[in-house]
Amino acid sequence: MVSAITSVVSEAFTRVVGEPPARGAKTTPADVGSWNSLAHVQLVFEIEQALGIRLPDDILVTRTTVGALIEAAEAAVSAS
Amino acid sequence: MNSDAPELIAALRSTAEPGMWWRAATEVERFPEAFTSYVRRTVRVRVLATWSSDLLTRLLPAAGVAAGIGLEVTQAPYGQVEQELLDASSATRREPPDYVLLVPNADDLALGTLGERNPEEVVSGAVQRWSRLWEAARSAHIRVCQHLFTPPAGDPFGVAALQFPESPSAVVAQVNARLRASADVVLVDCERLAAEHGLRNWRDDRYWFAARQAVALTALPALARATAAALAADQGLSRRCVVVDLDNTLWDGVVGEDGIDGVGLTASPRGEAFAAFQGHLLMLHRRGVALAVATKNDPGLARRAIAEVPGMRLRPEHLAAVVADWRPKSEQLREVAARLSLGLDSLAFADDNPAERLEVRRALPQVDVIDLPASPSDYVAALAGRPTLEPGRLTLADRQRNASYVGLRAAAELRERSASLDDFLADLAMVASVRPVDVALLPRVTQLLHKTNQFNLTTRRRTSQEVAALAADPRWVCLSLSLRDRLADHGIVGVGFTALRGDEAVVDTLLLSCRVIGRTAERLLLRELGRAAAERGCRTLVGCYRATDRNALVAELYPQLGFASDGPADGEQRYILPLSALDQLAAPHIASDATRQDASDRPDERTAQW
Repeated sequence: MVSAITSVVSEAFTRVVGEPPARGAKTTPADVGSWNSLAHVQLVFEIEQALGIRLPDDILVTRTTVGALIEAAEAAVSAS
Repeated sequence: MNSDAPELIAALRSTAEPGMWWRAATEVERFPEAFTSYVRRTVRVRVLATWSSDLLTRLLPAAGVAAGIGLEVTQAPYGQVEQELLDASSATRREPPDYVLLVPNADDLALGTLGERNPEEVVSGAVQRWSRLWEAARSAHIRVCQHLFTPPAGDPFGVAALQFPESPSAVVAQVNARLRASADVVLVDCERLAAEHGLRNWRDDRYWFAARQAVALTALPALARATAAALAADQGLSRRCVVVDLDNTLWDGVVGEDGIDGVGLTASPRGEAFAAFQGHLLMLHRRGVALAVATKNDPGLARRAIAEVPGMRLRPEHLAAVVADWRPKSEQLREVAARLSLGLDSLAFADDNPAERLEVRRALPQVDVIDLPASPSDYVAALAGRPTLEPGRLTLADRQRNASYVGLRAAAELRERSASLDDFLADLAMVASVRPVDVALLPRVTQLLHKTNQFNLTTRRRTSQEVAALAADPRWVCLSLSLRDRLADHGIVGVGFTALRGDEAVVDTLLLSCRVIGRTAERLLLRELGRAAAERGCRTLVGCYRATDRNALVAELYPQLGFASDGPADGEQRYILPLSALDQLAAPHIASDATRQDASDRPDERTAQW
């Protein structure tokens, strides 16, 4: 089952980057060319807005996998 | 193809909600053709920023469409401001845009090191830096749109910061104050904008440290909207008339049911909200925006109510037109536009009734329809941020215009009474003054070159620098015409330029403000241009007409004035009149007042000598 947070993140991803995360949580910037640093800033913003959370500062500068974004969002939601 | 364009435009004009703005930005990028009917003019803008402004740049075209201006935006690499403006081989200088958008941020001022520096030096250094860039743009014939600085949300001097010249807030305020005072540029006052938005929400430091994003993503729509509005206003595209309904818009209730004393503004808190809205409209009026009424009411009752409802702040003399009958609002608005000689795209319309708004939005998409919210306490806010109502550079003429519109109404009534046009014109007792364009007239003349569409023979939009250069050139004659009559002083309402080329004096520019069309002032202006040309040895006056989608009104002007057709050339129709026949351009109903140096002709703006 896909968690609500996972779908928020992948919807935000699709909207900002212009295509869905091809390999789900394992998707990396190498898989999706338009996931550049600018799109990443917008993506973090959209996730924060949609979930009403604040992600850790280092998330803004580290683009690893979509899964890392989901985990950070889940941690922020359960801490709030 | 996108059918949501009208809804998106309405939303862009009334909210700054980021989700909606990004959706709109994407739509404008993907389907530009769906929005072209909202664009009245297109300009090229190059963004030179000291922060990572890519996201702002992406929002600008959508913001432009909402304000009625097409923005073709390119962006220089981050931080390349001096390099782009001072180096003649830069991309900006090689292909000069119409505007450079200068986007600084408070970190340029190194506010963190203020403790070690003289604050006055920091301020003057910053003012020097940006003024020098303005100068560089000016000499490259590029107009400047400058964002001002925003103070930091947290200041070590706390709430008292502005009392300490060495505080970051005071330094920012000083820099802004001096830039405002010396500006002959388009300003976007980010200090005021951020205050409206809330300083703590204006910038998110995480995004600054991580991505050099100096304005929070939630605040970017407001910034884009203000920027586009300032550019549109500079191009003369702001709405010139706000048309309002009466019942439940200007007062509390329905006058036809509740009676004149029943809708008063003094009896209740709701009444006060309507009075505050009227106060806001009155300020717009003082700023030069015409006000008019379109109401489904008995005409006699409507007029009486406007004069007699207790607590009214708007008086009959503030209203340039009152249309009261039972026709659809769209027809009433057409009549307002016709009476004021304005295009429908010069009107904004505010009505509390959603059905009336929908009818107008469908029938007249050119009109900016303002959705008044449910509570009258929110009416002011609905008008206040409207990008279509941004003031451009105000000249005294803007403030005079309203006196002139009211004079226009009186003139229309006079015309109905006068038996013939000749009687009417004679009755107006018009006095004109034709003067060479000089430094004091420059702002108003430039404004007319940018705003005039209908009575404009060639529609050449020139910058004030270009006009200044022509006015100083002995091969050119550049004249302005001001007109007053017994009903109103219209100020400067006509401009004519001729280029002297051997035997020929070519009328390069001839325009009249729509307020004085039909008064024969063009004859006077042409005659004076002709006289000046004859004095310098010319023999023929050459008139040119370049068709646009707005100036069909004057397509036949020259033949009507007795010029002979000389065929097409360079996309224009040419007409000629021997200067020996100049006397046929008499304007018997306009007296000349060549010596008049009325203060009312002087735009109240700071201008440079040349």
